[in-house]
Amino acid sequence: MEHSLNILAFGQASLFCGGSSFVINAALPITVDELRCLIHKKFPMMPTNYMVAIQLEYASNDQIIGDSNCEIAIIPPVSGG
Amino acid sequence: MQRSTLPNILLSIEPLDLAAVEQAVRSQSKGAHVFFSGTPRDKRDQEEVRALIFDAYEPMAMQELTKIQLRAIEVFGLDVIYIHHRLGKCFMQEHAVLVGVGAPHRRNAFEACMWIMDELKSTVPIWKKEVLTNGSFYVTAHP
Repeated sequence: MEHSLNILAFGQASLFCGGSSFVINAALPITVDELRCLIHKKFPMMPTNYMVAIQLEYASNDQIIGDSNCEIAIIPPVSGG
Repeated sequence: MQRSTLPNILLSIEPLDLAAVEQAVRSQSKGAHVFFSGTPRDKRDQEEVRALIFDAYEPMAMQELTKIQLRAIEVFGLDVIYIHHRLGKCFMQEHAVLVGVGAPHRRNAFEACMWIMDELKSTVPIWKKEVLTNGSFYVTAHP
């Protein structure tokens, strides 16, 4: 069964997905790396040099996403300061 | 030493107040005080930069800044630390970021300030756009 994951997008990433969030449909659980593949399929022009954050923490590529309610965000290279 | 009501970590759409940070650090620390202010550069490849626009993933940015605050206190033995970052439109004469630290000795205060800015620029989810004459554009991350 597929779940809808709401993904927050910031910075340059928001330009490639047309707004501040988008939805990815996926069978859970999936890894962050698998999520990256789904995002790339949906937005092939989006640069892949972003980090993924889960519940406000940077996630590794092998981290597992098992809950469709968790807060997921795409973090392109930051440029504060 | 006096306590201050100024928040140690701040993301603000209002102009940042260096005098307030300076006063807060001085009132809580004796020895070495180091302050850093980052302001917009006025040129991008010969083009005039009119302003910067900052946006952030605010809850995560606050969390990452708090991690930096706690780590800096632990590693450098700071008495006090303030990290304030501007959000929204920042004009040329305004502060984009302020850091103020107090420590018993100068070396720790200088090194902490440098480390804090390096960490902020590499981990805190804040993004900067430059407003040029022909539009606004995200700035590529830089060291």
